[in-house]
Amino acid sequence: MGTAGGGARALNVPVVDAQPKLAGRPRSMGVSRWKRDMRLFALLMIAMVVAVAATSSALMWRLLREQAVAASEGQSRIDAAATTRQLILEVDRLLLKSVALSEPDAVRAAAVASIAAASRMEDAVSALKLMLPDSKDVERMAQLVEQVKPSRMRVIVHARKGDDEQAIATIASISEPLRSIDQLSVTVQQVQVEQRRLDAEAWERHVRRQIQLLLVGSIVGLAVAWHFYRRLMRQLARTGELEALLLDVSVAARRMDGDGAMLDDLNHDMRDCQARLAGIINDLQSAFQAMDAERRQAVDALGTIENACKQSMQTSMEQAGHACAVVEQIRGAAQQMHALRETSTHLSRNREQIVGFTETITRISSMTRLLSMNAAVEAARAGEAGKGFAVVAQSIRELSDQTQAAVLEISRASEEITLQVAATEKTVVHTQGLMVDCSQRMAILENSAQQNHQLVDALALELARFSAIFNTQAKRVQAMDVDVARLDESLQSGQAQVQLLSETAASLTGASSRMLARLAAVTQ
Amino acid sequence: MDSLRNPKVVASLGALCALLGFAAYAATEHVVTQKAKAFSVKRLVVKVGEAVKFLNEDSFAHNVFSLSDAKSFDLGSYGPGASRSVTFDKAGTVEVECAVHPDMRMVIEVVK
Repeated sequence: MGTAGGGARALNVPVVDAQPKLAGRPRSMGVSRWKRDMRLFALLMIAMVVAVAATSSALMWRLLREQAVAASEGQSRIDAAATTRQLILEVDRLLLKSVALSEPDAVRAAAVASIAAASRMEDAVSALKLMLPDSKDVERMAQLVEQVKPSRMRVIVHARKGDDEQAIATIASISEPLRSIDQLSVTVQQVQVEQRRLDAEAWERHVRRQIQLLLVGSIVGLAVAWHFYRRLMRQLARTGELEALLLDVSVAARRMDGDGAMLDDLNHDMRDCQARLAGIINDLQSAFQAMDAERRQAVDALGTIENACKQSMQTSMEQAGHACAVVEQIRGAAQQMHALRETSTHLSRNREQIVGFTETITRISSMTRLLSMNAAVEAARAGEAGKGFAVVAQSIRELSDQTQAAVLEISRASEEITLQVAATEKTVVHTQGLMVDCSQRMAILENSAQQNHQLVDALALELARFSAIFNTQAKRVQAMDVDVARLDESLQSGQAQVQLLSETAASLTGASSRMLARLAAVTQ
Repeated sequence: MDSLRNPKVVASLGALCALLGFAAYAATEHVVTQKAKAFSVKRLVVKVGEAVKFLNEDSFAHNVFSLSDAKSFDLGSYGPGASRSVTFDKAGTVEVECAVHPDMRMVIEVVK
């Protein structure tokens, strides 16, 4: 396997800066000044609006508060005066009730209620004093309230004691002060109502004046706003370009984001392809190694086959030589058979001679026998002088018999020889035929051996050529293995570049996301 | 007149006056506070001629009164921090109440 390409960055991709520097000093100054002017203008507008709104709100709030306070105070005074009137009547009623009742507990309850009502009345008068410290009527009311207090207690005491006359007299004595307090309450109430009316009129005038002022202020503000508006429109003419630029940047950022995602997907696919390629390379290298081992085995087998072919060729040659020798031997044997046939023919001829001789011998033997018989007859005729001749005749007859027997034996043997010669001749002929056939077959075998030799020779040539081609293929496989190793090196280098690509895609995606976020914040 | 020039005499007279004044003060006025809609004491014993000062320590007004035979009085409504005094010049039991807060009650025993 080749090594990775040292992890060197083949791609010089710059890191995306989240805050890219502006290009060119004059351009940055112009944009900064424009931004400063815009900011100042916006601040002025905001300040003006806020000032107008604050001033208006403050004025209105002050007016409303004053009006509300005045109305509240006026109403409180009126209510206090009205409460005082009510409580005056309540105190008077309860005092009379305490006098009218006879039950001690009920009298006590009425007395306590009158004291409580008087206490509330004092509170109302005290409140009026606080609200109208300069009012003489209220001062007089307070004095009268203090003035009637002891008389009230006396009424209660008399009522509790059951002294109704004294109680009524005391009530009569304080009726005038109570009436005065009531009258004063009415006066205060009327004064307060009148005051409220006057206050309402004053407030209306004041509001009208304030509205007029606000109107003037609004007109002035409108004029200033119109002036600012005109300036803003001139300034905004440049924002159109900025908006277009932002739009383009937004589109570019989205495209970058999309491209970053596509790059990431592509990177993913490349990683998968690389992984598959690495697997394929591994398989190829394993296959190449196996092919190389098999090539060696094939070369060894080819060598073995070549050796076998050579041996076969040698054996064929030997066989061809042996076949030639056999053919020669067969030819020699055929010649010898032919000589043997001629010999048997000659032997047959000799046997015929022998037959002739045996016939001659037979004739001779027959003549001999005849002679012996004649001798015997003559011997017989000769009597005693012929006994020796008879014995010789007898011996000649025996000899003739023996000769006859021998001739018979010779004839028999001759016949056997004739038969054997015939058989031998037949066998020789058959053998000759076989030998001719064998010779033909051997010739065929020799041709086959020669053809086999030629075939084996040709096979050896083909094997040699195949071996050469196989070696060429093996060299090519080795060259492919080298190429695969180089491919693996390229793969390693590609993985490093894929990693770099992945980082670049992540950087692009991050930069585009940040840009989109900033654009979204700006455009909102 | 010459004795009045004696510093010791002057000092003694001054101390005696102070003591008498304090004693008089201490002997003539008691202080009862109204706090959390209640009197600071439920029962008080005073001598005839002595006074009781009712001090309002609540954040709202009280109206202390009494309908007892020994002493009937109505101090009126007085606000936070204000006080009213009553001198008890007759022996007996005085039930003191508040007209604004019916649950506020106390008893003053006036003794000779």
